[in-house]
Amino acid sequence: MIFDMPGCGGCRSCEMACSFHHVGEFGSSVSSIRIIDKEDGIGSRVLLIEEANDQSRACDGCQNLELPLCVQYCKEREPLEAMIEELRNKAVEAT
Amino acid sequence: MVKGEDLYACAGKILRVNLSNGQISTEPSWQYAKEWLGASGIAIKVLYDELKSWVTPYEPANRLIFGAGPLIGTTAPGATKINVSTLGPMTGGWASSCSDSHFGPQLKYAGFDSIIIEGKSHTPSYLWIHNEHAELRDASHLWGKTTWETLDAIRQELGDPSLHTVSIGPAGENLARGACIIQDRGRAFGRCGVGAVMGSKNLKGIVAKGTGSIRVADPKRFMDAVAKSREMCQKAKSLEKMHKYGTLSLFQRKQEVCGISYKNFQETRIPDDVAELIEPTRTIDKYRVGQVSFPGCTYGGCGRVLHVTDGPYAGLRTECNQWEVFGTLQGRLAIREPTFMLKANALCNQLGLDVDAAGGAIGWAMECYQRGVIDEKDTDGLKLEWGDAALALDLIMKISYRQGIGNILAEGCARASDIIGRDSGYYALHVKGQDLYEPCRGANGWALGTTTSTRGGGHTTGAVTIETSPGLDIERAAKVYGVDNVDKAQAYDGKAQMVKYVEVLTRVCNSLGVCIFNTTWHDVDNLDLPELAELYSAATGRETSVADLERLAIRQLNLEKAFNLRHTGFDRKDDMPTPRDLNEPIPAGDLAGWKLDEKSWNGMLDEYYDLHGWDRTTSFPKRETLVELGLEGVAGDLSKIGRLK
Repeated sequence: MIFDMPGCGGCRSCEMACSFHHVGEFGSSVSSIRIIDKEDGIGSRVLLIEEANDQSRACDGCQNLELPLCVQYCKEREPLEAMIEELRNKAVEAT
Repeated sequence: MVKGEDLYACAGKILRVNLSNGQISTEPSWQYAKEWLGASGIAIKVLYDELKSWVTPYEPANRLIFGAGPLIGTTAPGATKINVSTLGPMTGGWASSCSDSHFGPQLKYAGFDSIIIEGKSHTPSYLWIHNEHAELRDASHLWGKTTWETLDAIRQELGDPSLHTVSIGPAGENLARGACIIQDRGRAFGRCGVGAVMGSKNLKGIVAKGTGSIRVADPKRFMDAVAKSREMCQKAKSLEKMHKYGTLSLFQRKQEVCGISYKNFQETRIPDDVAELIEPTRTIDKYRVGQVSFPGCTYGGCGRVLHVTDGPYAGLRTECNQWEVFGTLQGRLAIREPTFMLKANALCNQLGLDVDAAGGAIGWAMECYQRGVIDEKDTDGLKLEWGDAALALDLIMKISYRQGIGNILAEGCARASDIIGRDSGYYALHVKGQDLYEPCRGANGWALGTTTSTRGGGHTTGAVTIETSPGLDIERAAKVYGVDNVDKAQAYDGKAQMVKYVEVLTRVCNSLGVCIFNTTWHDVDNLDLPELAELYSAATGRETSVADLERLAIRQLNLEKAFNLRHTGFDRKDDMPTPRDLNEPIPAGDLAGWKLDEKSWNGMLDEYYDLHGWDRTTSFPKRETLVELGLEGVAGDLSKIGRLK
């Protein structure tokens, strides 16, 4: 799932937080969320990985937490929170 | 990431690169990590141990050291800043500069805490670090490119648009003394001429990518500390202003406290008619299109992207500058075009030239021209009029390419005034040879910290800011800084104590990787030493108290001092304000007529030396001070050269 987030400052704290959520260590390669710089510099594109690949885990919506860890670190959190919610709902519908 | 002895939070290895023979090796970080914390702390230890006293900044034996502290690459609040340290060409002594970066976390994920570079490459090179593998690659095709072009070219060459670099531009290549190192397209390792040292080594840039990760010793304790610290910072009064305007939010206050250079410190506030034209928050509101942030920043970023749609620089899209550019170029050179600061900042970023080195030299030259000390015969026919934006940009280019009068200005104002002579030194605003942007009248904690700074004139390793903060929580500030008169900027009492506190706080931050704007240096609601001690203890597993951190920081400061004593002739005279700040009263504004009292300044400086265990007459450390800090060997070294008391 990929979406445009004009308010994203590109800090990538979400990537580090997601990595910690999955494996208890801080990195970016296992993270389910990826921040992609945009040419025009207006925010970022945000990639939420729905299916695990050889590097990255799939986003599980942080089901064990009240608020997803990536959202906890995000200043402009509403769009991110909404996208995770959408992903969570998709997962529920699929089951 | 950890091999052998468990080393949490650190990546575990230091990369050694010899550019002369191309040899690349690694060594464990643990031998430095415990005693020197990280980044700038490790760097001063390496520099002191490895540089002989006769080494000069541009020769191959000099070390250029990049360091990412133990908190870099984690979600620790404000863990955005990495450090570059070296023997610098501005002061001839300790040179150290921090910058936010995306490069830093990647360096750690690749397996490295620091990079120690020595030697000189025969032809231009860049260093590519990828997951514990490092190689030197040809940069002949990059030499001459701006830092922006270099970033794009490296990304294309290595086939990865997500790569992050630190690089120099033409200013560093041409050994402009104030050349800096730029992260990606902006954010600078700005001062001390670190970019010139990199240029002297024929090193164009470094790029890092890592797929590894960082472990902390006690994850639950660490994340609790992170959550608690972030909550503190989220409640800081300055948060929203910083998020929206960055340090340009300081403009009104700086006007009130007469803390802005105008016409090279001839005045210390912007005249009202000019201020109305160039008020920077208005420029931001008009052109803002996006936010800029760095890993872990508690403000959600203090930067923003502006797209200029009208005026002489229409079409420019770049990260907006911070306060320093406004003070050192826009205000100092009396420029009325409000978007000039954006263009000047972008140009300095592209060319890799420190904005203070540019402003200091150009400001000196404009004042000399104003006073008839120099004329068109000296300036290649150029009229160096205050307020000429196009001229200022042209001079920034000339400095970076060492063309015409730019070749003299590229030496920085101190040396430029030596070259020209004609008693022009009075107009060269510098401390220890480093161009100053900091006005030092009207705020004594700020002035004392700026002038005593071991890296040359500068405000990020000791200068106090909160003494002029509007709406200061005095009770909290007094508790943090240990004195009652925290809001009395013109007082002389208690400033030495405040400066010592900031010296400790900034060194802890620079070693750990924390941006000082997330701390009580900027806002007393923010992180303080107890929170940093807790984060460090939880991350590394090494139980470290505030007192421990204080001792380690003061140890670093004394080693910086010893390093300077070995490489320069600095003594008490170099801890004094500029003659202009000492002699001239504030000309206009709320503090009009206020003048530094030299006797009181000297009393304050005496107190500062007493607090540090340094000799009042010379500023040299006393033997017992160094012995108490475990620096007996350093005491012996200084004794041999007659620089110990």
